[in-house]
Amino acid sequence: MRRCDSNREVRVYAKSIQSCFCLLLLLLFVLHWLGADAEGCPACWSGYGPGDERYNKPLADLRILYEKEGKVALPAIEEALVMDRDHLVKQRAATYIGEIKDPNSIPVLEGMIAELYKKVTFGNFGVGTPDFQTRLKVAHVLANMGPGNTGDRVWQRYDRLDGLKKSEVPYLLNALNDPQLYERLSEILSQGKDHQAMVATLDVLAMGDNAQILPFLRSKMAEWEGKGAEPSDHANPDISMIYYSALTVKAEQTIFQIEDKQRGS
Amino acid sequence: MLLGLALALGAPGSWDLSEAQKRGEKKGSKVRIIEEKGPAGHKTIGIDESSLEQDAGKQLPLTFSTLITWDYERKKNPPAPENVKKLDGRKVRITGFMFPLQEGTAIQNFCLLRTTQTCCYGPRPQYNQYIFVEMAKPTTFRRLDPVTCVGKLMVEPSPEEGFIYRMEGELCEDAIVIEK
Repeated sequence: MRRCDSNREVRVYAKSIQSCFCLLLLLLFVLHWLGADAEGCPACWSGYGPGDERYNKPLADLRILYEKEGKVALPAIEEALVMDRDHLVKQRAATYIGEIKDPNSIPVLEGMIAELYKKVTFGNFGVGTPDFQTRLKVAHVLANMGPGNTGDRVWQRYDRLDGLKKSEVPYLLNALNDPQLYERLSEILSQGKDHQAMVATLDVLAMGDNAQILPFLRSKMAEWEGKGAEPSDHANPDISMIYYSALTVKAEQTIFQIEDKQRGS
Repeated sequence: MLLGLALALGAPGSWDLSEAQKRGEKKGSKVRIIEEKGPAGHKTIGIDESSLEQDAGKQLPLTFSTLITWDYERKKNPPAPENVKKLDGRKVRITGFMFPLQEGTAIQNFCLLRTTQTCCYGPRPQYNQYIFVEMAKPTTFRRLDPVTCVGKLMVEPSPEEGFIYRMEGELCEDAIVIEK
């Protein structure tokens, strides 16, 4: 009789442990579920949502509008480019504007690039941001529509930009098919004031196949070799550090890539 | 929640403090802060400008409710209404939140807005909702604490540079947040 009771006690004990475990799992699941949506504002997520139209109605709406109305939809497409907060929608709008190719759209596109160098801007800047991806897309579209001098305006304000904005400039000049691209990229490297802009410059040079830049790059490599990290402005060491060893490695890779393309052609 | 916590504590975190701020002195206008819903549906905090009326000070008191009466649109470029035009070149005193235009804890260029709506990925405000402030000397950056700025207001529409109101800032002080 006592043995029977003992077995039952063990079973009840095991059952309660099992129940506790299940309850704990359920609790963890509920906490995880709650945590996923508890914080964050809708505007913060708008640029990062899935590109799939099933989850992005404005993106789908823009395509439907363009397919249905074509060029007539241009004002609405331009508005989406400027006003929409979702960068996927903005980038799609830029693509459609490039397809419609109405010269009247050029000021709208230039206005998007101008966000980089205006005195007052409210966007996010730097190569890792969705805003940059949109500007890059717009720059490609502008290059195909052919005003040709947007790069000049970006370059004229280059010196007054902060580090994050400067790092976008080499990519944008390249996308804009700037006629003075190589002179300006060489100038960024010669100035030697901003590390991220210099890295971006080397990155852009590596995308091209201009063999004429090779002697300049080799001279820069020789200049940087053996240097460690130094402030760009010795009078104000807080400003920006230049990591010469990283630049040397990057410059070497750039030279290899250009040489490779030369051999290929 | 973080907003509320920061406000409740009145703590600027690890930001660099001026001597007056280190001593806990607040010389700006007395102001009430209210929670609002931003255009993107997110929560923001804003200045309750009706609470500023009691505090005129020596300079001409200015509120954002006056500035927004100029319904400016870049394409139409409408002229400023008389009540805004007469502010051009006047020394004014206005309270709002800072939106920095440069990096660092001590800044010289920033925008002054009535609310924190542009914080994070918030939408761009309308031209008539902010003042571009250029300080003569760097001032301590406050992210979520209101500040009172004194300076010469210039009504000069420059949409190609992103503003229609500019202030040649002389002084920027922490505002005194009053209870409801």
